[in-house]
Amino acid sequence: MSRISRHVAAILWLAASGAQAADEAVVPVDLQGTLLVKAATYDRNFAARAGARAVILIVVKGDNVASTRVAAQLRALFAKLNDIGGVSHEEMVVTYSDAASLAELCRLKHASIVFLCPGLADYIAAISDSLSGIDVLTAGAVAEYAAEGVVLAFDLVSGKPKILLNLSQAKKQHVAFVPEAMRLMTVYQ
Amino acid sequence: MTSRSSQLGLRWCAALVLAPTITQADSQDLQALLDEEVVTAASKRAERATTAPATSTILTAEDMRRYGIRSLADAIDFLSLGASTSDNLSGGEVGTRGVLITGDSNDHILLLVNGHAINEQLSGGMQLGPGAGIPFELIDHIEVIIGPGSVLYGSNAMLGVVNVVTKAAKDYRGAHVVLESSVLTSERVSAGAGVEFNLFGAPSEVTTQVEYYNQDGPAFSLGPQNTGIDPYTGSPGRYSQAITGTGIWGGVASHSYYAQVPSAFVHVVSGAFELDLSGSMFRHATPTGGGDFDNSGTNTTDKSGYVDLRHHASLSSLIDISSRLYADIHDSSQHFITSRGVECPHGNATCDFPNQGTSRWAGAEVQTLLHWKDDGTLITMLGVDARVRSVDYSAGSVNAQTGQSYFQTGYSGQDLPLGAYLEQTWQPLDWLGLNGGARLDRSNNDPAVLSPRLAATAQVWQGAIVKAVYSEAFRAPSWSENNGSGVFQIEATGLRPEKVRSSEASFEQRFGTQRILAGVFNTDWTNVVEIYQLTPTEALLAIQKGLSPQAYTSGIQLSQFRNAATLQNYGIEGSFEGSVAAGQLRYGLNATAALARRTDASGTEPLVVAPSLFGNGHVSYALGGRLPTLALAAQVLGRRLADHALDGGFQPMPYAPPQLYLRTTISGAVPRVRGLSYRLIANIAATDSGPYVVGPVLRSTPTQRSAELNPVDRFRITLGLQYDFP
Repeated sequence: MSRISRHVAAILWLAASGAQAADEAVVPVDLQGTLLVKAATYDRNFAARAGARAVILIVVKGDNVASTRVAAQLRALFAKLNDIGGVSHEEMVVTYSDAASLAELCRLKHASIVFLCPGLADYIAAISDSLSGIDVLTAGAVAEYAAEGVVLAFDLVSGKPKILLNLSQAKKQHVAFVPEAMRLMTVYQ
Repeated sequence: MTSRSSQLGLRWCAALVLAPTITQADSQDLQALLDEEVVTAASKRAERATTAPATSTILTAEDMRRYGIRSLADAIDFLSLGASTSDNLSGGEVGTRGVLITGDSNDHILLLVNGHAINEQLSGGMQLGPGAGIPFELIDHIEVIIGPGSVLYGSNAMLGVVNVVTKAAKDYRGAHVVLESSVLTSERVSAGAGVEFNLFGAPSEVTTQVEYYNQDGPAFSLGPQNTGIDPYTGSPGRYSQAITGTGIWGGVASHSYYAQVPSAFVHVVSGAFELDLSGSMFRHATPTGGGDFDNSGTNTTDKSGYVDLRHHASLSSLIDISSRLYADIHDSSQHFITSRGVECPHGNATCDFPNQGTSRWAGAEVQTLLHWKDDGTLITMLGVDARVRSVDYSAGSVNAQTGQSYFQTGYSGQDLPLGAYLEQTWQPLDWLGLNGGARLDRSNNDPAVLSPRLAATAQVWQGAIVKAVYSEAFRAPSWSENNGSGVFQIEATGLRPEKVRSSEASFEQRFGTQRILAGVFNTDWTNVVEIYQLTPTEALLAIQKGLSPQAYTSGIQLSQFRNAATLQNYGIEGSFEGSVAAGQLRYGLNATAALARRTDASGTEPLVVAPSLFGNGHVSYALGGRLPTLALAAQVLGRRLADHALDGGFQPMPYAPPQLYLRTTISGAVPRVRGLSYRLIANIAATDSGPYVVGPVLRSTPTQRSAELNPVDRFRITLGLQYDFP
């Protein structure tokens, strides 16, 4: 084996063994954020939920690099927007600890949107259970989150973004999209 | 009123004000966002196509099914902007923006599958027809990037980059079987599956497909071409193994237009690892060569396979690292059967000109992304791609009946191409994106080549993007060009890499779900490698130096690969696409007008085969429910010079007439059979000839002054069935 080959193999091994795998947020974050903001305006209950100021919780897995990176990009994107659905807004990046605490925070802050960053796959079911009954729109950066109980998630199929909607969870969280918007989403019952 | 009730009151007030606006909102804005294309090939990472540093088209699996697309070449022809293929009945040739270099084996464009370069390393070529060996139903989408792409991909990416992305298991769950047949000519059988599972706690998946494509015919009527008396035998030329020749080539070719393509592809993901395994064979024959007429023994067999293992990881908030290991093999075997005395000067023998080429290459690529700012506005990419290549080639001529060898030549070798690239993206303002980078390539056989790219995109107002790109690309001379020699071909010396410099600008505007794009481009090519016919003096000198095995005779014609020409090319392009009725009605139009000129020592002339005017259009309507989708796609190619128009001396000068291909498709679910779907395709060509001179008469002779152009299959019906197991 040549010297170059040995060095390349060493780098690959290091990457494979010691590094953290990046999550599958396949839709560019700026596009996810834009889609989320647009989709929220088609939720009949968004305005009532938001009131004068929409609070957005961006939830990260603290030790997950991809998670914190997506959160930073999303926060920067939202910061550039004057309003979301016609109301002013405020973003908070929250490190996930447990589902009950997140639900409590949602109630306390009257959160309108909770965005779940990559790295939370193992906790989505618990989060969804905890948020059932709370008036909040949840969205996830990873397509698989929708099947696990997040109201909206983003996927990339054939080079184009898709919005996945978990309809039963949407009902539990008092999210009601207008039919025109729902026709454009992939719906999970 | 308590604080809580105040808040509730405010919320309901806001709701009363906003609710009508929201509920009456038109969903077109959301549809427009969902129509945004995401490309990965332009920068080796996912980004919006509108702001990517290149002009691109995404061809989706849905569109390919809807419009009756059956190969990569079809997809490019009917759906892409700025690219078109030309069917030479031998796998096809591709060009972009009015430049198509006939006979190049498609080595000026880079074909990727999931980012893995497919072009084989002996000639640098690849296939875009059925011979591409990519099971079709496994394709998620195709990214067609037009313009130079060497900044990230190195050699061959001169005309563009085509990246085929395969489906993820979530989009191909269960098992799938496909049967498709073009009536009386071809059949395609395919089976595949997608499975998701957990492997040692890591989310994992497998998608796979095996496919067999078989084509036999149509039986074209060719000729007759009268070549008269063979100068070597003094008798009428022979186009079969019969002892007595007639001097006439032609008839109905019913045995010599066929293809068989078995292929298999496996894509495995487990955690942060991805593995691709691919294998295919492409055995094919074309009836248009000038050897023995309709001889099925004149054929080509290409076998290829590769493995590509990728890993991606985020090491810290600053650094991502991607790495891959890959290994490829390509084996090509050709036979050319001819009894003509000028080609087989051994009495009444029939010659077989076999050649066998094998290329193997293996390499590693490591790429790091440095995220300097949290918001993703300043990113540096650094990459290194190193590979080892070995090639082995032999060619000769043998007596087809006895196996006696008349001539043997060949070469073998190994080299170590190395590429290092750097790309910097910076978004200094919300509306402005900058991208600059360069790649340095070198190998022990070629000089170092630098391929820079500078791009800027600006959102000038809502929905409007202006893009400007300057880029350079190169193609290292292939092993076959550097080392190939034959009876009348001497080995090249000192070939330099071909280079192209490209400037382009475009303006794109979105209006809801409608999008228009207009662009201009200019490219300059230097050091274009071509077969050069030596002058009599040069031929004499070459023979005196022992560069040719031939003895000098008056009029001997020797050739050699040389950096013989330059190309200048400029033009305009435009596209319009959109949808209405929530995507039920979709349409699109792409058009390119380009002027390409080739200059060599003898002067400047237009480029043959390449179309100056070309484009496509498509429209489809989904009737909804269980009713079918109706679709029409069309490709238009302007009048083109035939490949031997300028050097053949034919009267009249051969042109391929303007061509219109129409493809109508009806697709949908078969009623009452859950999981079964169909598509019925009708393909119509308006005219019956293409831009390639066929048969033995490639230059005007006293007995055959006009050229015969390759035939086109005018009408074909295809029926396909797909069954998706739950």
